[in-house]
This record gives sequence, structure tokens and C-alpha cells, in this order.
Amino acid sequence: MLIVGERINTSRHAINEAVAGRDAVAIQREVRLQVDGGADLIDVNAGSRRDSEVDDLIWLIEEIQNEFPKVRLSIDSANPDSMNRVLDRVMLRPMLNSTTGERSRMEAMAPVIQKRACDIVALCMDDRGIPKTAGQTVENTVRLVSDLEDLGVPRDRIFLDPVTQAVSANTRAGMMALEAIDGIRRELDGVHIISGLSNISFGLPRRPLVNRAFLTLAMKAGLTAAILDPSDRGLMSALKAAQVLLDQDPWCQAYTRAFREGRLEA
Amino acid sequence: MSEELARLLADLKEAEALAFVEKALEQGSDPLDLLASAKEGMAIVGERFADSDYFIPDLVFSGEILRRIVALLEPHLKKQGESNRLGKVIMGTVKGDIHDIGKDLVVFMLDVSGFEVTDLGIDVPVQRFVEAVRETGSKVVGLSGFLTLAFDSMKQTVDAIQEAGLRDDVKIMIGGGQIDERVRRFTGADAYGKDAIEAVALAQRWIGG
Repeated sequence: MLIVGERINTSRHAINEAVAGRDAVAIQREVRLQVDGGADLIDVNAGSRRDSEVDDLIWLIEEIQNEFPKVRLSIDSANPDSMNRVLDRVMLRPMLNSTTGERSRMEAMAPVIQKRACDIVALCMDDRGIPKTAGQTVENTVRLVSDLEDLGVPRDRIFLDPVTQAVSANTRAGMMALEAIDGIRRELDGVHIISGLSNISFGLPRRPLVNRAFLTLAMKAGLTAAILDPSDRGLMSALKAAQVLLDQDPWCQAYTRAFREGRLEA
Repeated sequence: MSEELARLLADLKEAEALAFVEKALEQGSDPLDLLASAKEGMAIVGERFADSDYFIPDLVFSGEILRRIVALLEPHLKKQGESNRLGKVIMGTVKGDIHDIGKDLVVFMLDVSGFEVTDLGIDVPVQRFVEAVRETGSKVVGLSGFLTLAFDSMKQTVDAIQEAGLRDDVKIMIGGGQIDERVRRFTGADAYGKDAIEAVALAQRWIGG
């Protein structure tokens, strides 16, 4: 499982304050928390600061890289132009978060995607909106992968996101997401399947519990990457336990090591 | 008014509430009276939702029960020549934003509350809202958006309705993730709502119910 840490997002009050005040120490502390928790990449999002998004992203990227030169970054923006303008500042191979199957979005993202070798998160929606069935999600992903391959992106750099929806508003949403993940895994060899965890639990009490259950079920269905809060010990412990059960942790070494390091929480 | 029906709906007792309505109709109760009781029950659901005692699934379920109650009442209401549809409302997630959970909930709750809702979907171009106001004659427009960039689209939509000379004909409400009074002022909307319950309350205040 590839873990993308989601905490550096200016829609969170503390991060907005740190970015506005150029408090590098606070940002580095947030990154440390996530790296220690098991993050492979750090997602960076300054989209809520529209007027200074590019400057803020550049500052974040540089401050994080200064302290953590071996940690990869995921550049998260709704604005392809912002991504284009900050991409060169990233030292290691960046992840772009994200493109979609919408024609206009894909066209706007194409020059960014072709600018340098990147991992790319692709949301499985198209001009018809968010898919209404798992089958439609899988259809969309097949087209997305073909479009991305035409742009020269190899499959192992493609991270398909089935776009989970809130189970509180539609109780079929959980099964739909799991069936979509399973369908993508069967249909498309060699791609990654990624998901954020917070949509699924929107509108329910004790959301972390729902997120945790979804993560483990999604891993069984074929999830290979997740955007989450790696400082959530309960969540990361559930992930490690699931890896043991899914034979993704040879000789339970990651699990027992985490125990010895005091990082497992029942 | 029947406190019993209001309580059954508020407690989400679907089978009992529907049986109560069927029996009351057989016994000649006034369907408008029953409808008023059901709305009272929905108001209690709204309070419980605001208190975090109820959650979104409870809200959706209550709407589903209300929909079924209205279906039972409808033939009787028609007989009296009463239209049970209130005013018309246009809803959509603004240009550049594709979030639909909140928008769909508002559409659903407005619909079961008796409004005639035109749902324009997600990522709705500014001019589509203007056309919809012209086509439907709706008096209320609801703009939904979760992303920060939705605020610009909301402002552009309000401005376009103004430029089309339709601003005085409609009330505009906005809602979604981070929206507050500051955003309302920026966009020029008339009001904002924190959730589907507040959206219904705004529509009721503006065009009855």
C-alpha cells in the first residue's frame, strides 16, 4: 500500500495559519508526523488560498524538501495552471492530484502531464458526471487509461480513483465503491487504485470507524494506495492488520515491527 | 393536527406512520390536516438533526417516509382541487465544481417538502442558470458548491442573473462546504444555508409552505 498523507491542506485552519505566517517549523512538524506514521508521499494543497496558491505551493514544496529531501510530494490543485507553474520545483518524481475523464480537464492537464515524468491521480468521472454504477466507473477508467497512455504515461504511474460517495446519503455507495475497485483490478492490469477515505463517511457519527472499515474492505477489493491521515494510529493499525490478513506482509514483519515500536493501537 | 402522526414520523417509524395515515383517511380525516402533521414531524427531525441526534441517513429516511405519506394523501388532495406542489426552485452545483452530495440532499428535501425542483446537476454553466430562471419562472435559485473556486462561479452566476434583468424576480441561496456570511456577501446571494434543512426553511420563508 502506498500512503499519501493528506494533512498539508490550507482548508485546515492550522495549516492556513502556518502558510499565511510562513511558519516553516509548523509545516515541517506536520510532515514529520505523517512520515513517522508511514506516509510515502505528502500531499500539498493550497487551493483555499486562491490569490496566492502558486506562491504558497512553491514555499511549501521548498520548505518540505529542505527538511525531507527523500520524501515524495503530491501536488494537489483544482487548477492545472498552478500545477504547471510549480512542477519544476519538485525534486523527486511528483504525483499530480488530479485529472479526470472530463474532456476540458484532460485537455488542460495534458501539458502538465507531459512536462515531466509524474504519477497521476485520475478521478473516474467524465462529462456525464460522477458514475452512477460500478460498471460505468470501470468503463470510465478504461477510457481514462487509454487517454493517459496516449499521453505517454505508463500504467504503473496511473492511480485511478473510483470517487467514493457518502454512504449516509446513499447506502449503496459503499458496495458501489468496492465493486468499482474490484472491477478496475480485473479489467486493467498494472494500474494503481487509489482512494481518499473521508467521502465515504460524510454525514455519519464516529467517522474514523467507518473510514477504517472501508479501508480494509477496499484493500481486499484491490486498493493499492490511499490518501489519508497517517497520524491516525487506529487507522494505520487497521491497515497493518489488513495487510497481514491479505498476505501483503511477509512473515508479519511490518506488523510485529510496528508493535515493537509501540505504534499498534487496538 | 395529529400529534401522533408527527411523533411517528419524527421517530422514523415508517410502517406505523403509513398505517396511521391510511386509517385516518379511511375514517375521513382531512388530508391537508394530515399533511400539516407530517410537516410538523419533519420539523422535529430537523431539530434533532441540528442537535446531532440525527444524521444524514435519518434525514434521508424521514424524507422517504414523507414521500410515501404524500403519495397516500395525493389522490385525496387532488379530489379537493388542491395542488400540493408549492413554488418552483432551481438547484445546481456551480461551474467548476462537481460535488453533488449536499446538492442532491437539498433537492431531495425540497422535493419531499412539496417544492417543484429543477435540478440542473453539477458543473452548471452560469448561463444555464439564467436560462432555467427564464424557462421555469422559478422564484428561488439554490447554488451549491464545495470547492473554494465555487465562490467565484457563484458570484458570476448571481451577476449573470442580475445582468439578464432577472435579479429582482428571484431569491438566491447558496450552500456547501466552507460557506459563511462572508462568502454570501462576496457572491451577492440573498442567504446561505448550512444544510438541507436550512435550505428548505429558506425556500419556505421566501415562497411559502
